[in-house]
Amino acid sequence: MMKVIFRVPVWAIGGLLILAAGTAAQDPPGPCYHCQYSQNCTYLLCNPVSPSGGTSSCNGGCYTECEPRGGSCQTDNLPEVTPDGSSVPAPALLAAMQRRGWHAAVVADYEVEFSGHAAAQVRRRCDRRVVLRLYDKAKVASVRESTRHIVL
Amino acid sequence: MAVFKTRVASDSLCARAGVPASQERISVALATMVERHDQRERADRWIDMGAADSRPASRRRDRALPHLARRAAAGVSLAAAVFGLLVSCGGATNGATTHTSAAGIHLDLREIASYVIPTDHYPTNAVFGESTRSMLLWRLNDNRLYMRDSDTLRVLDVSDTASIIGAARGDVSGSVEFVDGDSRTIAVLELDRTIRTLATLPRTATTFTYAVKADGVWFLAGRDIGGYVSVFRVDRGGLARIYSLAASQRSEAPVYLRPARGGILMARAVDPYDVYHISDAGVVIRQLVPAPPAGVGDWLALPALQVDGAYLQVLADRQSDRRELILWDSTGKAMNRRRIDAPIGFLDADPATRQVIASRDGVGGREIVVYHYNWVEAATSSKEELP
Repeated sequence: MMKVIFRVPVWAIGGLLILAAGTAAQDPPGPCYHCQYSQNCTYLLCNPVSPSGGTSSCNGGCYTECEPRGGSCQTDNLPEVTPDGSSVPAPALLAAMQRRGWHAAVVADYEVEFSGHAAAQVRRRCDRRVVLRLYDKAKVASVRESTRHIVL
Repeated sequence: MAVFKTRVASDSLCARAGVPASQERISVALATMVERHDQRERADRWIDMGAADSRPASRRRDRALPHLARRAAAGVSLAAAVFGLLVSCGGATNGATTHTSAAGIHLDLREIASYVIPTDHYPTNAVFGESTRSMLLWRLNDNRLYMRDSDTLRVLDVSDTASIIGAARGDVSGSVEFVDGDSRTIAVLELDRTIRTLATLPRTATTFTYAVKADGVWFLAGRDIGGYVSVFRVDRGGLARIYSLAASQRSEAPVYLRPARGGILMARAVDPYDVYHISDAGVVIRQLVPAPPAGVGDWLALPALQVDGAYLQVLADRQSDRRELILWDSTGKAMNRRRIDAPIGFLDADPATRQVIASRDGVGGREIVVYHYNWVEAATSSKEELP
């Protein structure tokens, strides 16, 4: 029986590995995807953020996080900001964060709108408060009082 | 009717975006909409303040109940309501069938769904549809109707030249009635998408600006050349002018109409932002005049609603997101007032399902929001100071 042996140089294997790693890292951003039926979408945002804040046309891809439906929520050990709507207007919330150099905070009763080429993350905690996490160069266009629950 | 119920529902946060698919002339799925919050966790005591429901029987959930069971349930509910109100309000009630003045009672609105509307097709009016998850929407003076069913928004172009000033569910299931202020006709869009004229309004000097269907009858708001505002009722025999604002109140500013018990609500958009509860015979049942908002602002009143027996009005500052929410009880006495920093207005209320439709400029775009409402004893929100 004749044996056929292919000899591959070590440098070629290394090159292939490097090429494969590089290809994986340079995957172009794909379209926004939605979570599977069995999952809850906890976070979906364009990167960069679209002018409308929507995700229907994410030019540069998007961030998506999914979690099992009815499953986990996350509790973060983050500084909490729970502004008094009457004495601390929305811009003061941002100012307070910036003064403290915070890039993340737990924000209750406010909705935050991002603008510019910002990367940001919003996640809902187990206590249903919203975690606001700002990355480099993140800008906040506006902060509005939440209207998910109104008591009149 | 129920008193002191405890409700627990599952919580979920879901965000799915939709892209408008295509636009055809009639009945084309335009876009899927974002339903952010299917259900929210609720565990709160609540009080039923609205027993008398003037809506047509077709909108009531208890329609299928057997007669005897309904009577028994009504008896239990009535007793429970009286007990609940005595406990919660210290006996400050004038009856269990009307929303009356009660200190410490608040309107509690909890969002149960929100739908992002494509910006090119933003309706300004909405009414609940036949099912709990459908609604009819339109933009004033536009030629399109929008029907939302489950997760899709259908566009119904009724005519190239139409100028819709009011729309409502038709008498036949699936049909839609609308008032074209341009051709001065009331028409019905049938299930097969044919349009049939129901009535032609007489050619007068009055320009009709708003229309609403209340208890099966169409009411119109119109303005004469001099700016005199009147309300008309559409009868089989023609058009009956049932109420006119005083000559001193003539204005080119918008006037809104909404259904109300026994008639309609007419609200004026500009100062003094007064609201009139007018019977179908033209009698003013209640006139509400809010105190002007404090502080600087360029205020405009949005449509007023009747929620159960109470009245809900929103004043909007045109220069900011400030909104002043005002609540009156059924006697016209001011109950509660709150200023919020978010652009929102209310469009329709359905006492049968205890739901309210609102329009909101949200973080994700313009939204139609559905709230579930209850009457609660006191505010449940907690406030803390910045650390």
